[in-house]
Amino acid sequence: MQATAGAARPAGATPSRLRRALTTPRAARITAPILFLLAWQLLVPLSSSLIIPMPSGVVEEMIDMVKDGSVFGNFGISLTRLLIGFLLALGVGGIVGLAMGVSPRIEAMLHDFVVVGLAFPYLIWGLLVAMWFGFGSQGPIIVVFIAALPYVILNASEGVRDVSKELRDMAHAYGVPPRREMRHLILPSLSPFLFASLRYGLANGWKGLVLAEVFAATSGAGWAIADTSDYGNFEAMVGYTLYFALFSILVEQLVFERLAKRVFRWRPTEAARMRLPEPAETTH
Amino acid sequence: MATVKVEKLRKVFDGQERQIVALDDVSFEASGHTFVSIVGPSGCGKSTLLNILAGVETPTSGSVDISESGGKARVGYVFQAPRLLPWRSVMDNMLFVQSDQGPETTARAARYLDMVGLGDHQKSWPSQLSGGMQQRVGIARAFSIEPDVLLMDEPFSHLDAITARGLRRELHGMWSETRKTILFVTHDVGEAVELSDRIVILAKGGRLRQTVDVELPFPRDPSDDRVALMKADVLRTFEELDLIAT
Repeated sequence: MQATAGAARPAGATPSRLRRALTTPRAARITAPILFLLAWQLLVPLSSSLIIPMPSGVVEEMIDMVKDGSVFGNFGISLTRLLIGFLLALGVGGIVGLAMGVSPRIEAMLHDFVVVGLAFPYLIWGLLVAMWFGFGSQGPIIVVFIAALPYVILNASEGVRDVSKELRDMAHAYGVPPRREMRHLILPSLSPFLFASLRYGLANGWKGLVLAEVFAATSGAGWAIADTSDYGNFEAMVGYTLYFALFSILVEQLVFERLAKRVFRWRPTEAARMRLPEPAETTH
Repeated sequence: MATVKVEKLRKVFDGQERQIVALDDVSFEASGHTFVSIVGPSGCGKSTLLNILAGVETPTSGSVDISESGGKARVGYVFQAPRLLPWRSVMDNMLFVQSDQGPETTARAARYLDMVGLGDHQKSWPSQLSGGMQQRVGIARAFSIEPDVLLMDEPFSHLDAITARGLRRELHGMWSETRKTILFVTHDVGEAVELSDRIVILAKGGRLRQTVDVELPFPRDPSDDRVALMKADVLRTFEELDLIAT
């Protein structure tokens, strides 16, 4: 952190180039959180309240969590629950969504349920599953499923309706066999919607999961947050929250952005980027 | 030799308020190395006719039959828009419609891409090509299945005049070389005169009004007097048939 701050001063031979490098969108993604941490560290001592922990204390806690392995244990459990719940939602939501996309009658039957599902607070599900299933993995998995399901359904049904009739007519005019049409026409045109389901479904699954773990679990990241807060260990609590933030950023950058770049490399902007040299790299 | 037979074809669409007659009692025949243009104002059922011939739509009554020496004929289709799979490369788009898949197929597809001057673009995405180039891929795709009959639905109407002129010349060359039966829908009388042996005139309401044989030697230059006269003749027929809205 200090190294970055020191280098930012125009002491080097080419300050303008450095400034430009620091103001690129890519650098902004790093400088923004650093500025945020700095502001946090500087502003907390100004407040009289004692329950806002300092970043330095939080970082210390975060390191301890890695050392004793508790963060891996809790996140491991949570991730497993998330994956199981989400895969269930993907399977069920995919089928229901496809059916809604194909049949106006099924769409009419289920549309309102999906809309309510999108707006329904996870808190209620969290409390309900705690009552029904007690403490364990079942409740959180069900809440993940319920939280992700409407997003998957919505995107699948819109995806089916979005498949181009013109392209399908073209395939039929040429007598393209159904399997090839599925693989090269239908599935690729569904992929933006599958992507949206992954992104929003997973993000909402996470939110639901943490809430469910607060009420209906004795393990997992959400439970750890509730537990540390019960004991008044605010540094650890914020530490867990930060791990959450880090985790979602990592998933976004390492999984979604790369996957999107590959799956959508045919899109005009991506294609243009491949054809033209990247401006940032080639400017003198 | 391929034969296209259209008999008493009728197609009615259910509109919101009333039924829309797209084609009404249309009959004609074309066979062998023939270039037939189907000309008429918009909404006269030209595209519907091609869709029925391609098997994408079913007729309300009447029949169409496309055969090749008694057997089933292969049909290629060039659409008004290129209709390429945006997420597949140019070559993969060519392979998508082939009935057989293998190294010879790839070589054949490459040969037709060469023919339309896109041999170097096999790996490009459609979005990297201009509109005219995309349309050329569509034309190469239709030729590459080596069809007995080629259907073309206003393939040049979305292109600028200069590109369209070049592609018309290319199309004529490919037709002379491959000796296909081509059914070519257009609303451009000049284009029809330049390319075809025969012009079929459809009126609003999908009625076949007249067929005109064009007996001028190829290649036909649009600025040639005889071509211009012929175009004027066909347009006069339109007037006489009262097809021009006033």
